[in-house]
Formats: sequence, C-alpha cells, structure tokens
Amino acid sequence: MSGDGFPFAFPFSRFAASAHEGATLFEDLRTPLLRYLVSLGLSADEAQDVVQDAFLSLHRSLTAGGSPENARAWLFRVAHNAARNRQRSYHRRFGAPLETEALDLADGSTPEHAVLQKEKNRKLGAAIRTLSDVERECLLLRAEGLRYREIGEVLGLATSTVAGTVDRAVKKLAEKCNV
Amino acid sequence: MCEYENNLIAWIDGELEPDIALDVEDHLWICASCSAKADQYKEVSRAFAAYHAAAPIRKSSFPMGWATVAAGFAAAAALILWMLPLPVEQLPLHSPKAAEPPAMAFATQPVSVPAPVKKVHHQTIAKRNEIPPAAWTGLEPSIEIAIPADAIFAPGAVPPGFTFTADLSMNGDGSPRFLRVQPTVYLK
Repeated sequence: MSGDGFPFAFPFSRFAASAHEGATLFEDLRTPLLRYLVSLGLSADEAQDVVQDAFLSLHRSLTAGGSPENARAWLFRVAHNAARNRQRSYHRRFGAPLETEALDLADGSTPEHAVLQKEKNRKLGAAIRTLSDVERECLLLRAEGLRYREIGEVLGLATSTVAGTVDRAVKKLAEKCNV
Repeated sequence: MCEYENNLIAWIDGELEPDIALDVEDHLWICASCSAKADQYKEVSRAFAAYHAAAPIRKSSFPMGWATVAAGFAAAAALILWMLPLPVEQLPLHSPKAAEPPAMAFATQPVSVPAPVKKVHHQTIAKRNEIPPAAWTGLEPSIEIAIPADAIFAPGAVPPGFTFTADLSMNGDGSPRFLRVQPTVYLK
C-alpha cells in the first residue's frame, strides 16, 4: 500500500507518465472546477460534492475501459451537467453574483484607486448579469483556459458556435464596462 | 467597422489559423482602432477572470485546509508513536479505535507508577534508546497506520472508499526520520 502513492495513480497513468503527474492533474483541475461551479451558482459545499463525484466518475470510467480523449474537458462536462441537474441552486445565486467578494480585489491600494476599482467591479457585475447563461458559461470556461473546442465539448456546442458566443459576450462586456 | 474586428477575440485566444493570425497581427500595426479594441478586449477578459477568481470555493462547514489537517494529524501520530510501548505490528489496521489504547495507557500510567515517577520515566527512555539498530534500515517505512477518513474529516466530507495511510520511518535510536500521510482509495 505504501508504494501506491496517489489513489488515482492507475487510471490517470493513461494521461500522465507517473503517479506524481496524476496527482498533479488532480490538483491542477480541482480549483478551476470548484471556481467554475461556484460561479455557476452552486454553494461551496455543493461544488465540492460535484467535483469529488466528477473525479470518481472519471476513475470509474477509466477502470471500466473507457478512455476520454481529454480529461480536462471530460471533467468540466461531467461537472457542468451535474450543476445543471441542480437547477434550483443553479439559479439561486445567479441573480446576485460575487459583488461582495469582488470588492476585496480593491485591497492594497489608495482610497481613490479603491473607489475606482469598486465602481469598475460594480459595472462589470452589472454587465455580467446581462449575459445569457451560455455566454457566461463560455466566458467562465475560457477564463479557466479551455480551448473553444473543449468548451464546445463541455456545453455540447459546435466549435464555431463557441467562437461566435465568446466574441459576442466579450464585446458585450467591453461595451458595457468601457474599461 | 473594420473587417478584422470580428477576428480580434479569436486572435487573442490563439484560436485562428496561423495564416489568418498573421494577417491580424499585420493589420494591428496599421489600425489604431483595432489595436485599441484588442487591448480593451484583453483588459475586460482579464477583469472577468479576476472577478470570478474571487469565488468562495472553500467549504463552509469545513474551514480547515488540507495542510492544517495533515500537520495536526502528523503531530498526533508522532505523539501516539512516542507513547507506544507495544510492538506496532499488533496495531489493528483499519480500525478507527487504533489510536485509543495507547492514549488510555498514557492517561493511567501516572496512577499506577510508584512514587519516584521521574526515575522510572528516565529508565524507560534509557531502555528505549538502548534498542539495538533493529531489523529495519530506516529507509523503508517502519510503520504503516491506516486511518479511516471519517476519523479526520467531518462525516460525509470524503467519499466512501477513501482512507488515509501514514507511513512512519524511524532512525535506529527511535527518532522519527519521516512521516508521510497519503490518501488511498479502496475499490471493490
């Protein structure tokens, strides 16, 4: 048992050359997945549950002989679908996103700068609320570093549709925020 | 409106075909409007990411970090081990009560020991130090303790099948060489 290292060492070895890299994959993706789910409106507790389930699903799928091409897109897709299945909580926070947390970003600067930053965040928060669900999801996944093709896999959209949606959403934000 | 404007965001994201991307880059040198727009899109993308990076992802009912848990557990394991007079192989693996017998022994010891407590204690330590460089080399884990996940986390915080293993290696003189705690998952 002492030689096993990380619990997911075996199945992840299809993506990673060693158990160490398998552990790195878990650590690299855990926080982005949590952030995505919380941004979708899940509570931190729900998000933790969903992420754990997603990793266990991947583990099960791999030990059963499945071989997802791309573990990152696969995990985001499973997590996304689980979040959508919790529709009630999905919409609970959707109307009142992260304004209080976002204000903390203003820390460590002059009062004038802090006020300016606060105003920018307020504008940005208002602009984000004008986005459609799919526009917001595309931007969230893009912010976590997913390629358009991967975003398409997560949301079940064609890559060209993702490109159009991202383009529209960024322009909307830029126009409303005037940053 | 400039014809390149609809390619700017895909260009920022590195999603354009290489030759089209080169076209856009050439164009950005000569078009101030597109250049300014590209900067604006980059800035708003950065702001969007920063806005959501502040998302509160920590579990509310379990504010302790993994590092805290690991450190706390390591300290507990080291203490238990130090107090442990019996051969460690006899520890019942996978039992949540594994840690308790030695703790009880520690609690009752002062009562049962006769008057010169200090002297007895010194003898115990001296004896312990006399143990000859035993069978283990010190490089291999000397002791392996299985800890059910429920013993260190709130019930339900860790999916079923998870448990933790502590590998402890000691030097010949009984001082700890390393302690390693790692999660392990058991599948049927």
